[in-house]
Amino acid sequence: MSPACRPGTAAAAAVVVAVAVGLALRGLARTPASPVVEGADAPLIPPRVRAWYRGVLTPLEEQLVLGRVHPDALTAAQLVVSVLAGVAFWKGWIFLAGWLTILAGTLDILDGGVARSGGRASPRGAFLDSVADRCAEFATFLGLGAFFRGSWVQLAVAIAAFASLMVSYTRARAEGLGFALQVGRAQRPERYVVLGFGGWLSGLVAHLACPVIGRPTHVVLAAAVVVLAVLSTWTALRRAQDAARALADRSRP
Amino acid sequence: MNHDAAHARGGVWRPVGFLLLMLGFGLRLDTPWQALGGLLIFAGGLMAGAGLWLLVRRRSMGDAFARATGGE
Repeated sequence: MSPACRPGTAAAAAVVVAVAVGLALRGLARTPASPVVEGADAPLIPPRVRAWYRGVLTPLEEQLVLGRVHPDALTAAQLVVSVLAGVAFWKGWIFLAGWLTILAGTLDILDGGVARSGGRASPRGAFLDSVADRCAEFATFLGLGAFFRGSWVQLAVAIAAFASLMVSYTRARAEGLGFALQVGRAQRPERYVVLGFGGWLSGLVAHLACPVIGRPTHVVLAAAVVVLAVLSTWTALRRAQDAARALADRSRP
Repeated sequence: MNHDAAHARGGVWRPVGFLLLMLGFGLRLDTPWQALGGLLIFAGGLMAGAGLWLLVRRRSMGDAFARATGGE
């Protein structure tokens, strides 16, 4: 559990976050609208938000390319940050863990971007990135499971972890069989956002509500884990269904 | 000062400053490392503030340029 209630620091953090959200909304309004995919399988994060976040990261990406930072170094950094996020979840440092999860997701975007912009994209890099992604996810879920030990939420963590791996596995297997599978509401960026923002917000709420409740409570994080478990399971099932249908169509004479 | 370079610096300082700010708040809220958290909040605040200042300056200069050439 968190060492103490710190509502003052949490209020200061909330003000900074509110300013950042205000600036983000202004930036989002300036971002050109992208074609929106609609329906039950549309990703949770709209293309406009993705385009805005990529725009925020572009100057950083350019500096990393200019500084000749190798994409593998960013992949390694993402793995390390994910392990730290797992440790932070395990220790009950939920605000920090949520923020580290968001940072890991950002590094995941940056490594691919730097590889493409710097002309260093390769099948080896893509393979290493995928392997590191799975290890990173496992480390974060492991910490989350340890935090919720003895609670029913631990089951939701286990389901979310299994379903997240299945989302990636169904896509990889389908691609191996010659199909591109990119449908689903809870793809990797969505999983980072739900878990990262869930933790971040949960940490803030826990410290702000602490003087009233008397102890830190992480209902928001539990809700985020349940949402992640449901969305990831739905995405894995939809991908499996789509792949099975496409394979049946292909084998039909 | 080269304005493109200043813009690039601002574009890097804003997200990195915000990253440091949030790490600092995280350390202050959740861990016993209060001094390190305070240091990161200070450094992050300076960086994000400088990045925002460069953004505001660039926008105001951009507007002035747009007016001088008749806009779009």
